Amino acid sequence: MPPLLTVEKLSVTYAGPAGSTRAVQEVSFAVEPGEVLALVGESGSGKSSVALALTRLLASPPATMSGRVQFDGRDLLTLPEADLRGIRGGAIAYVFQDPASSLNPVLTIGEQIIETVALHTSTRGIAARRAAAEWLEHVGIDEAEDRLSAYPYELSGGMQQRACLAMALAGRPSLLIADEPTTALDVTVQVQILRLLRDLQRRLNLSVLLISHDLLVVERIAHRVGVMQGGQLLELGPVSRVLQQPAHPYTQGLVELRRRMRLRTGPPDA
Amino acid sequence: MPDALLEADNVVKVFTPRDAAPWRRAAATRAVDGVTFSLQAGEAVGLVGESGCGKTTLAKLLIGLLRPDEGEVRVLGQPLQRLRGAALRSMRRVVQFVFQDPMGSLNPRLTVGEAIAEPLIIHRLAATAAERRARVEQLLASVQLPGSFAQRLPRQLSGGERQRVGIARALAVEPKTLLCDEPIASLDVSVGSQILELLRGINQRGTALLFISHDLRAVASLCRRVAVMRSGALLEEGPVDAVLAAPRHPYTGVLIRSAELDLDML
Repeated sequence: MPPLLTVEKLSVTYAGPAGSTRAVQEVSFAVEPGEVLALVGESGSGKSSVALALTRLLASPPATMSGRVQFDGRDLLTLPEADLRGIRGGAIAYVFQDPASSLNPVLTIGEQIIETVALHTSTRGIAARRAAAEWLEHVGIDEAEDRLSAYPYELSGGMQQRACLAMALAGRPSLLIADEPTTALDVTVQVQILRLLRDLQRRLNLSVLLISHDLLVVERIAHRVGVMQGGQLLELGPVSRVLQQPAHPYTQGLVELRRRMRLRTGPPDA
Repeated sequence: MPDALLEADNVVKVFTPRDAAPWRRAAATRAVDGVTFSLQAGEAVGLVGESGCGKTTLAKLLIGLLRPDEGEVRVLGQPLQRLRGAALRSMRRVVQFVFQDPMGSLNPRLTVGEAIAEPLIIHRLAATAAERRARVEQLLASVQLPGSFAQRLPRQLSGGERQRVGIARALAVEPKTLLCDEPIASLDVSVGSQILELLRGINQRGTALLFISHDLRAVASLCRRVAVMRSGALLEEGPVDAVLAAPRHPYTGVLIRSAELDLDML
């Protein structure tokens, strides 16, 4: 099967008053159907710029993008804006770090999910409302019917992130881009959301591009991992290979850090 | 035994909603519900728990930013609430604090140098301006920042650099204790681990640490002793290794497995 997404020599440059910054430099990778590919790196490594550039979510100017992003036989970097709008939130959906700022505070959860359903599927009216409730159930929100009329502020951070996942899935994506989906959450909630993400990925055979700075998160749910630093993709490979034989000194440092932050030796961490 | 640096004796803090109608019995929250805790000289102790468990409220009680409704906080054996004026000021030389959000704890209009010099002025720790400048430079060096940073404003620094400035300012009065409330929660992994390394060095040079965090991984890498908090109460405390190996409370087990991102727990 051909890859779902093929990124070739993607570069992102931000123009600023003090000259331009090359945030992403000729990054190439592919995401296979049903695969979880993670990009790790510290703040400023360019990983979020990659995630946003894929569907041209970066304002241009100041950002300029070059290279190719092949998805479903089309190059997303040259696709007309109108066509791209059908893909964003549809075939390619996003979940971001801070659920509170991804949700519209003046619309109910239901309105926001129904909007996605109506925009990206042929379902309308009562059926769309039912579909929205079903997605809420899928992401583990109880009493989904009632929750449709809740406003974001009435939900906890973990619940908000579940709602964001429901909204993302409601567009029936084949690629989910999750940018630090658990970073803003409490430790115990983090586990719940990660488990949910893993289970949904398996159940729906989703492809996921996971952006994270935490190798442990990557280790738990990704199949392959790419390591980014200073806008470059240093190495890319199966998670177990990269963790056991990191090729690049920077990756070795990350793995060492991960080892030192380990709580206990032995299972389930070994 | 000498007096503990910092002691909480059965402290309780109750928050009552301000806008509760007088005829309605307001639902009060017992944010800290009878906590007894002490910190000895030179120790590194972690206080863990999830959001809302009361760890920050406990921290605020320990440094006198909040008054306990019941119980007592003692600093070097002295009841904190009864300290006034010069005695209170000298208490500040025993306990200093570092907060989660370094941007929020630094005055945006003060340069780094001015921010670090402020405690030196308040506590009269430098006789002349030249002495003060030298001390600021020395403090910046102790948090591995170049002396030239003294001229910068907080917004010109990265998150990790700002947190270093926050630590340098806390160290200015040579405190016996550093109370750090989620100092690495808003930093990314590698920057956070550098801050942990810095705190470890500070502890090894004799300053006691109370490290408040929801991140058991960070606590385990820095502290010898850990206290676990939930719903305003301390569930258990003990040496980190022992608690990790054999948690006595089921909730501690949940925290440990969460920190390990054990997706198959339950």
